[in-house]
Amino acid sequence: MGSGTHDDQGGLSRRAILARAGLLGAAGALAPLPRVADRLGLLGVASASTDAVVRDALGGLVAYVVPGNDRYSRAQGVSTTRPGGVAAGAVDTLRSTLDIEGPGLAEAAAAILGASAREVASSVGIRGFASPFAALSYSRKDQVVRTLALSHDATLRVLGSTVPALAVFLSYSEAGVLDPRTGRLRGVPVGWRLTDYSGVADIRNDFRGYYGGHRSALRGGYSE
Amino acid sequence: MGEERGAPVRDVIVIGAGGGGAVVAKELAERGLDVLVLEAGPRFARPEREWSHFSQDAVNPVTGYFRWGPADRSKSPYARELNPPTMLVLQVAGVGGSTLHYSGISPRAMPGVFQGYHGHDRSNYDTGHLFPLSYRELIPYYEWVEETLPVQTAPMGTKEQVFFEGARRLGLPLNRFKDVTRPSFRPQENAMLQPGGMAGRSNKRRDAHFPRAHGCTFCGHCFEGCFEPLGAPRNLKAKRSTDNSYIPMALTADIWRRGGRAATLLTDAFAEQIEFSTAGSTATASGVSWIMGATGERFSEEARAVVLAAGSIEGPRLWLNSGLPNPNGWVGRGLTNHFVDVVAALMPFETGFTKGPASGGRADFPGYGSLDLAGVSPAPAAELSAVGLVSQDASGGKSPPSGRVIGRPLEHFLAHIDRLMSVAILTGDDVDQRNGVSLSTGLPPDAHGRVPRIDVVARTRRSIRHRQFLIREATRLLERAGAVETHRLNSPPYLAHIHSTLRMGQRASDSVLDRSGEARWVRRLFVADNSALANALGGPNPTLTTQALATRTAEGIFHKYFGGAPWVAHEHPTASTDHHVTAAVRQRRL
Repeated sequence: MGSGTHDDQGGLSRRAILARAGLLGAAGALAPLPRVADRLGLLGVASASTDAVVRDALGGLVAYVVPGNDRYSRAQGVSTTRPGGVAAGAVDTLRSTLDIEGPGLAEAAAAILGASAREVASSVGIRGFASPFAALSYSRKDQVVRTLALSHDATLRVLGSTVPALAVFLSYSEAGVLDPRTGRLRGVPVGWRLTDYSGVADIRNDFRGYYGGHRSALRGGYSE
Repeated sequence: MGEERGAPVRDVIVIGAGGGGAVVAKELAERGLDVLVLEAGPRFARPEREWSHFSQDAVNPVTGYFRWGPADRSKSPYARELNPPTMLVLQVAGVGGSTLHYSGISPRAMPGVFQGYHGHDRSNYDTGHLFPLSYRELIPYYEWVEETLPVQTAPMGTKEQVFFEGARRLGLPLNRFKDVTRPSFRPQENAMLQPGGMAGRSNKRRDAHFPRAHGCTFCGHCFEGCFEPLGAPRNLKAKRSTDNSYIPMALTADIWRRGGRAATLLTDAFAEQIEFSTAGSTATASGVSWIMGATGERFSEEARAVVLAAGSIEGPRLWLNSGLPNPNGWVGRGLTNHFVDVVAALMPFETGFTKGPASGGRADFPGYGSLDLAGVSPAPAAELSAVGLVSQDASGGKSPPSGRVIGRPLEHFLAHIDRLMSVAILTGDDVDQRNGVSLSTGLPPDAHGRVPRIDVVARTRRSIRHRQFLIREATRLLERAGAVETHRLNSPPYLAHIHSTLRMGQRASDSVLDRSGEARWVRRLFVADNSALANALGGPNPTLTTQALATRTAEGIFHKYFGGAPWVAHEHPTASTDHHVTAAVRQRRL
């Protein structure tokens, strides 16, 4: 990102968000998200979203879909004793994926999640997080995401449906440890440990023969 | 065929090097025609270096190398407007198209979706939108493709053994035929080479090298692209995606076939316009214009015939952006997608869910649809669990009995991925004009013109009933196989199989193509991908039928516009694995 598009706090300027979303072409179903934020009166919030706000909103979302032993999971009251999506690196990779999908989308998503959090829990403190969404209990988060998923607004439905599914994909994938320069893994992906997966392979010993010993199907099975 | 050689007019331009276009290109190159293939995406010439088995690298829907977008993965995917917006669209730019990530599943269609079918279950099919030819008429073309790819009976892994036992306990009989005439189960007929040597019999990487291993190595990565066995010539890779089968044949037709002529393949070439002329009420296709993605340069060439095979979304988009006629309003309409759903199960024993061919077993229910056994890697499995529809009544933290699974329930479900089973529901969904592809008014045009809008908004009562039947049967099958827990995804529109948006049909009033695959209102324009299908085939996976139909279309083009004789009834096909093809592939360093 060019520095001229940022405000003093490191967020994208309001004009830059709209311009980049429109001109550079956010491609998918989230493309209108900055405009939705604008319509909801949140574009100013989005443009003021610092990296910390975006990271905490997305961190809260990742912990919601794949909880682990991280601070976001503990804050929502649903955590595990093992690494989850946050430890898998899904927060950063979700941010970078949204940035490729369309500049300004991550900021708009963070603004909408934050505003929705205030709607369901107006009195909740942010408890050390930069986004109020990250401070919600699991059931409140569920209420927010479910409300978005069932919204009449098509773009908000994507924010409540497709984006969480993308966060799940990233949490269970190799994204957090895949070195794009070498194409090699820097460690064992969290998703592999969560699923007891034996890892990728070029060959596996699971050939069990042919059903009934039949190696070919017969022709001539159709008669009019 | 010979008179224009060396002249600027091509014999045939094929738009799209996917499952269907590659077939037309190979067949006509084999006949000696001058064929130009335009492909919007890249050709993965060295898949062992360019691909990996990592899901993040391959199938991340935004940045994966298998996506619908520019070859430069730092750029956003191509735009489309989706209705509903939660729709999932699996589409790939690149030589091979969607066969790059398909599972190679190659069943024939249900006979009941063809003209002339008189079975007792006839009323169970979409009789208003039948194929304008008989099933029997298509059989020689099926056989031609089955031998060319080749299609072979799938071997079993552990998950196939589990599936077959469930099907047997359900009371289904084994179908030993290629044709489906009654409810039954069987090993898949897959476009996948059977394992040989050490393939499927070792966990050691050194055993994955050709020729120590040949055919399917059981790596479990069909979805991420097949480059096994390691070191095998391109045409001997296990999965018969068209980048491994038909395209290598098309590019070497001058070597392995006497009288053949190598097709010209141009990648990164995005077709923007089908050129045509109009005389009176008749339009005639005359060429294609395209833009090169890397440079932005625009080119145009004339051709004696144009074959549109850009896929069921981009095909109608290109048609409409070109201003081609659409007098009955059916261009882009009638989309079918098998009304997909998924039933997954936890088993109390190992299933090898992540191993072997993605799918080696199926059950068919003529008049209703099909069930595909399906296995994938952790990330796609997790994503699929999370895309289910959110229900109105579920409450915080608990997964509903069907629909989206996230949080702790997801962790529980995926805790031992090789104890999972999953079955894809493929409904024989009805053609409905309200579903389809049009030009978006909600999104701005991109570099290639107005972008497509996809609507999947309507289902007939019969389609809903048939899907419910299949979900019930899949659940019963998994329970009989020993499932301790089952879950239905309740999927939003899932577009992995996308068909019938430029459908051929019996009537001019509700179809775009005649029975030869030629456009009803545009002479010399043919369609040869899934969009040409008249309907959803009654549920079976579409690629083989599209390829059979594309072979028939190629024969028709050769006969009608180049004075050649049909060949399928009189000749024997050369398999893409034939040693002459292997030698040609090696000679040309493909």
